[in-house]
Amino acid sequence: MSPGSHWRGQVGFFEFALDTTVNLDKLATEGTHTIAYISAKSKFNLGDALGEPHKKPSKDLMNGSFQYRFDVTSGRILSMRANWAMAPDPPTQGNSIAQDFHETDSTMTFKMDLVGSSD
Amino acid sequence: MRKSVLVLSIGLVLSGSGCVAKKGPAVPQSVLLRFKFRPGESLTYKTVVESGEGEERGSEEYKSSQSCSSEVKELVKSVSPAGTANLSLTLFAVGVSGTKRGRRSLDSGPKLKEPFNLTLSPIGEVGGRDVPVGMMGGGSRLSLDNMMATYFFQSVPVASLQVVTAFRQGV
Repeated sequence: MSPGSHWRGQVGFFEFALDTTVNLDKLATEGTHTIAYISAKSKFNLGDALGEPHKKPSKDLMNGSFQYRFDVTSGRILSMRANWAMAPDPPTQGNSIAQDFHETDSTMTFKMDLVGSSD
Repeated sequence: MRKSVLVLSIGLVLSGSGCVAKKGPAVPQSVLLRFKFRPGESLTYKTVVESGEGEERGSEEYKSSQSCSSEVKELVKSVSPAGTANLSLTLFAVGVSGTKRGRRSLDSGPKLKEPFNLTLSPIGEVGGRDVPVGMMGGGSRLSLDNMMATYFFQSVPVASLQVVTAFRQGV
């Protein structure tokens, strides 16, 4: 795999479909180790990718962007950053209780760093 | 004359202090992405998960947030001839806090969770998950168990798919 390469994968589980594209952004040498900088984008959607036509497909229910630092020499992840954003939920129609309530935004961030090893 | 000596001296100092580019180890043009496991080794990862959401009720808007930091220790119990590792994961929750509609709703001190096992192949395929029942706590209440379960079930499948998607290309 070379810098600039990208790949796409899809998987369905429960009623969700996950579509992800991964890029190998660059390779670098840090000390004696080769480090791969990888980025990825994922989308969560409902229904259609699973072949369930009775379900109304959603439009990018959640979008996520990810960055990994992977130590190729020792074969382990050094760090990962992820950001998820959920599309705003429009006001509910036709329900007197719920029509005045909706989520305006929803975000989630992950940070993961290797902080210790036995070697 | 003094100026010339000064300029020459500065030039010599700069060139002797590494301003002339040195060639480091060559960067590979292509690599094979693979996890490499060694029996008995352990890795510790620190994770911080932060989430926030807004709600609108009529003309009023409410903000809620949650934050959870923890450490995950991965112990490689064994490695198959094909390179798949049997891992034992232990979550050390350092802290969890949150606000619900602007009010502080939960704080938690350090807490140790019982370890759970999974297998991880060299290309990142996750199998054999053995998640403690205690982590499956349902309901909408903000709790440490829910935070951990949310982290585990949302992050692992996605990260796994991404890793597998990239790593499988070299097969």
